[in-house]
Amino acid sequence: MVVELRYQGGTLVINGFETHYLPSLNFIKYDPRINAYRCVAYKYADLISFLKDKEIPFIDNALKPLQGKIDIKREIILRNYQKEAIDSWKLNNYRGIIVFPTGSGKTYLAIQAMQMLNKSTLITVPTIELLNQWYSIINKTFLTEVGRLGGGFKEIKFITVSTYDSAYLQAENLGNKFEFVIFDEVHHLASESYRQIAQMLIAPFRMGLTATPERVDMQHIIFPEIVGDIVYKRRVADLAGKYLAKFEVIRHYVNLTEEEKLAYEKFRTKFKKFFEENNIQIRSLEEFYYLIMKSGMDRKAREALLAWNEARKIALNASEKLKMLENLLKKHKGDRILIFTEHNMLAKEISKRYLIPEITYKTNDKEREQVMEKFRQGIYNVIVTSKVLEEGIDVPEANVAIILSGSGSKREFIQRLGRILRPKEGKIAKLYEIVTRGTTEVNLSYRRQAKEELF
Amino acid sequence: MLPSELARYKIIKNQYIVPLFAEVNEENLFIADSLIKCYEENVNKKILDLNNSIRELEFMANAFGYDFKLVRGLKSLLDRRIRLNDNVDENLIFEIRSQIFELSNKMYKGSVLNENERDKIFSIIAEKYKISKEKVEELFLSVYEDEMFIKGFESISPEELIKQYNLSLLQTILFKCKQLQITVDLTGHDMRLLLWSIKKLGLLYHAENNFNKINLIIDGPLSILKQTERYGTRIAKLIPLILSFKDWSIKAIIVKKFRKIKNFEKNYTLLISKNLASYFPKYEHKEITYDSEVEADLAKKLVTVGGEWQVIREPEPIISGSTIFIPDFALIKGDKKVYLEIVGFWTPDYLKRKLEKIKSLKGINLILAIDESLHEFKIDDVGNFNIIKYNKKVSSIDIIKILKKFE
Repeated sequence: MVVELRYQGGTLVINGFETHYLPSLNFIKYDPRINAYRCVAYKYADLISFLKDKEIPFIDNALKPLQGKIDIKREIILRNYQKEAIDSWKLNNYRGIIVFPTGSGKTYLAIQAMQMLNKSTLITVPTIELLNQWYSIINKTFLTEVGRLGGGFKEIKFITVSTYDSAYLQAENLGNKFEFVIFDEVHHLASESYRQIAQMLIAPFRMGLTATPERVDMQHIIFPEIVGDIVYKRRVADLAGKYLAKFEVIRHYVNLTEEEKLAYEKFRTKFKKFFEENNIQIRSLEEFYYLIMKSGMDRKAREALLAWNEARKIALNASEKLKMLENLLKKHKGDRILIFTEHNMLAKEISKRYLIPEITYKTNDKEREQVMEKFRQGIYNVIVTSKVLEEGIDVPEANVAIILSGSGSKREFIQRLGRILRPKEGKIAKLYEIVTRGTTEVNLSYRRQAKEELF
Repeated sequence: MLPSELARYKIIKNQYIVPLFAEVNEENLFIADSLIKCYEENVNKKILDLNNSIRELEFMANAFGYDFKLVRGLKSLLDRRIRLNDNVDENLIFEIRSQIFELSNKMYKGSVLNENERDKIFSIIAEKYKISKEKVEELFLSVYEDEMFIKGFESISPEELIKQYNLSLLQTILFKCKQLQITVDLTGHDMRLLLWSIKKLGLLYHAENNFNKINLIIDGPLSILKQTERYGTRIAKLIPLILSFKDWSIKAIIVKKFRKIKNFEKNYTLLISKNLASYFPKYEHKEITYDSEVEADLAKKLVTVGGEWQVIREPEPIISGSTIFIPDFALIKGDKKVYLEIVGFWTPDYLKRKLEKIKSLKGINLILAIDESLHEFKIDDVGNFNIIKYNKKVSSIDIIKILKKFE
């Protein structure tokens, strides 16, 4: 009997499958609902090689790749380390993860791989900025039309760039249309829901790109299975100076003003006392609200909440911090500066006060795109952003980064750093961190990695 | 739907998850009513103002012992009923903002560091557009959501709000559902509607008999390979239809993740039945009329020539293997029951599946009417069933002839 493969909602349905094949294919299961066998789509490559190996005749109605081809507009020239990376990926059967620091040209490397394979390709990225960035780089390199999924677009084409969110929602629909998939900032794939994107795709050819493959929660151990092993690795230290700009980290501590200190202490004592009296321990903001709201001691609870809020505001927005920012802005007038804040509230305040364009997750698409474009063109010199610009976005001209109330985890640190590390002759990038002294207890630090407390 | 952190439930016996639905009682009606009034009063004001008055209300409600999650849950439903000022000229705002930032770059290399510099830029823009500096400031700030004006509010009765809340709460909890079991006693018509909805949502079902009711176990293609909440949002969409049935109960497996322990999750069971119907909004589904002319025509004729044979359209569903079969007709005379299925449009693939389904039906009498004009068809595939062929119209005489055999 001929085996027939069919794609259904992120899985392969296998008809005409004989039970004695089963022992060697433990990923296949009988599904009584349809009276046929079934496996997750990403097992496609394994399944096909098994069938070919055993010379079992089969009909493949599963893979229906989008038709098209890549036409080159502009040749790209790779650096040696980029060529090496592609070669070792190719040797690993066109699968695997490449670890490069941000700014070392992983987009070009991926474009080279697309050109080499010339297959329908899906690229998944974590943010709208990256979506637009990939879109514009591919458009500069290929004549082939590029589709976008996410950020208001819903186009599926031979080459498609999608956000992780849209790819997750559309996984059923995308699963059998692409032969090659590129996961940009692949560490995102570790989360349970995004992981399903990789699993529900047939795509036998896979590439993951990242600067920081390790996750604190060890979720990355799934990668070899769904993307491939790490096939190539270069760290910032390997490339700094030669291909990347050199950088310098300067940390400034600011103190609360006497007034703020007094107020801070007053508020802090107040809410601490409330917690102690009620034997409350807080691990998250949600718990905090919950406890306050739940507690029967309404007036006191309300006062404690207000006190906590005030103390937190003081610590986050310490006026010294803004003064320090002003000093740095003065010192670096004319430089290309990125300012990072932890919260939207502070980003809004900085944008309002200093008339600096901002990008937060609340910024509308049109303005966000324009701000990025104008920053690249040099019409804007300074941008303030909350978490949005965190990953991989190209801002080649930036040479100063200022972090206010950053979260101090290793990943964010490197990524933010990467933002300003673009190769340019004789450029030394500067990274400033502004940290408020002596307010650590205000911070509900449960989410932070304990290594570095920033305030 | 509610933001997941506002879902109210309790865990019982470390096994069951029980949604904390809001009763339609005086207290809840009061709080719902206060919230609705608050929205009504803040029309033509800023979102910022609305949020401030809600916050006050929330503290007050808290003082009276209300759960803040309930208040915020109701708020999240009401938020969807406000209409923002659609009169804002987004292009103008966009234009003014870019010009302000551009001036800040041109004149001050990227940032204004004192009030004078800032003021100067606003003056230039105000002059250019012939508006006041205050208006420029207002336009400049209007990209921020909380600075927006509320233009209208689509009001709702407090009772309906509470019922909508309960539905949203149930659906929010179901978002984390791996599998839903529905137990129903449905007519063929309603079952068809349910199965059609399941299919349309890309879900799959497994059917089994449960005394005189039917259990449908619903999840998706992936579920058999790995347990997943992927289908939770889609499963939740079935709820309004289920609420429209006379008799129903559901049993859902809900996954709860524990933030403090990585990768640790536990399954809980959610049980709800029509006893709680009064907590939810009322739904009615449309009756769909005969789906083909052939069937409508035949139904009419059978009634006239059928004599004592009683004609029933879309009779009760029959389970075949793990799927459900709803014949087009049941013909009943005394204790004799014969089903009639009309196979009109078909592809070889469709027919193959249909026949497989029919072949596994045991102990029933079935007549199959097959459109001969479409494809080659081998009768020996069908086993013992009675076959008649038809062209355009099914002959009622042919059917009566076969029925005679059963009399």
